[in-house]
Amino acid sequence: MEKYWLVFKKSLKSELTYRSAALWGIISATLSFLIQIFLWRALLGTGVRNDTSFPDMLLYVLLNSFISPLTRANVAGMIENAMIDGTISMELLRPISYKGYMFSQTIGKNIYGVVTATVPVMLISLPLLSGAVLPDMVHILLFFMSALLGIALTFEVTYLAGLLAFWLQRCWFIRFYLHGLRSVFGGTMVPIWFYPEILKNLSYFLPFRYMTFEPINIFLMKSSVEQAWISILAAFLWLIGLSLAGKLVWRAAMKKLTVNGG
Amino acid sequence: MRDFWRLFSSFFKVALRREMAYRGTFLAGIIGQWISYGATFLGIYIMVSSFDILGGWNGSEVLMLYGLSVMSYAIGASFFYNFSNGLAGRIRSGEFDASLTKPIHPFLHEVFSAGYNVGYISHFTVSLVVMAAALSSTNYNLTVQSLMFLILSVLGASLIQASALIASSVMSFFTVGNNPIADFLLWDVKEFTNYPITVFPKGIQFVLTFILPFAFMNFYPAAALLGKAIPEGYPAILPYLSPLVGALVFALSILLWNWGLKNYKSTGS
Repeated sequence: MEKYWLVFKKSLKSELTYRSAALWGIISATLSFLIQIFLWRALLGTGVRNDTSFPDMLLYVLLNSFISPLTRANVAGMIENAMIDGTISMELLRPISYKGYMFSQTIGKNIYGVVTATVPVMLISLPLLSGAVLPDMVHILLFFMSALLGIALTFEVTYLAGLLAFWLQRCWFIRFYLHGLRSVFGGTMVPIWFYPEILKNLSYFLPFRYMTFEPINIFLMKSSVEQAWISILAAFLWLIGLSLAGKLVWRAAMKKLTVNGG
Repeated sequence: MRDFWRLFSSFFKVALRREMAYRGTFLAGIIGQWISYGATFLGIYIMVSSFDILGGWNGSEVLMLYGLSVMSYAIGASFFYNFSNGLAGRIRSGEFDASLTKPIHPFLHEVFSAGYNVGYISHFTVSLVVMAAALSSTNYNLTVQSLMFLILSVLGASLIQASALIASSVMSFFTVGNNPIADFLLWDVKEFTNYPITVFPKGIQFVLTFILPFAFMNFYPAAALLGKAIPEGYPAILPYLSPLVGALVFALSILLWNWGLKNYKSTGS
């Protein structure tokens, strides 16, 4: 555990060296938050559509800008780079699981992103939040469970897709597939409750909706306690299934691995 | 001029061969971009059409905005993305200094040797399909005049996109770190233009029209084409000025680049 903590701290620290990047991170997060707020204001006004009011959307956008940077991971890119410059052979020799190493590194990076990007967004939105209904204690607890599972699940999926790097050599395009799938089936852009029926039903058969959409749904109390437990269970099952698949693929990858120089 | 084309075509062939060396990767990349951009188009459409209308534009009409933006980016970036994105690295490694010794202007040499990016064919095709579908679903009657207007506007828009790429690379002459200005200009600000600018506050409409004129890239031409209102009190001629604005900001961005070059001190490596 200590080893992973060390990787986490190192990763966080290396982010801290780019001070000006943090400033631009704030500007970028604020702009993209404002765009969504103006947009939903124009769409919803003071009315209600599909059970959704403007304060609901405000919370949705806010939580999204909080959870999304936490789930950001580019495992494929990390493996690809390590394979190109040969550092992969060093990394594999370390007395630490490669997956755990990737995970600690990703979380270290992401925590920094959340602190620099989300805090300013929170401050802007505080005065707007007065009309929003906050969830009860049960839903808050369920939200945290669901959000943690969502973060783990996102990492698991990106890890599994990232392992393809061992076969493809070049794989910068994997993140475009993941982005597209998460956007359509994960509701990262538009909440799934606005979707046409076919897409809505399809999303239940894929892991993407449990990444950020379900946790936010629970926080907004759009899921009953019972529905929340079902979605948590589903996320948990996906997590187990995918991590088993990840183990198998990893084993195959180690047999296949070719390192060019390094 | 003949030399220009000869140079361009020989550099172009090299770029094409470089991409085609990894045929599988190239194809997988194209499909990935289709899925990724297709998802954004779908999201915008679902969002707007579940409310019927956004600031007077329906779902298909709003798709024209992002369509124009992606198409003009495809054209502008296929010539200038490698150049813009690679400049910092070439300066850091010292390769850039070789451009200073060539018998053509360093800007042209950089653009040519960075190479044409064939990959943007994916952006181009997806935006073409979406715009054609959007226009046909609104039963738009496309005449020869309006098609000419559309093509000229796309060319102007491509120049605006190219200018943003050129301008954002100027930073590389002064710092060697990563370049947040590029992300800011190319992604954050442009995100506003995915929707009619009339839904945003007046200050933002002003900035997107007169300061960072991204609205000329899609909003104004689309407004002219579809007969939509422009911000109140703005000159009625604005929707027709995209080619002019494009040429103007393109010239400005090259002046800016040359200014950066003049103040550049080699790292000496």
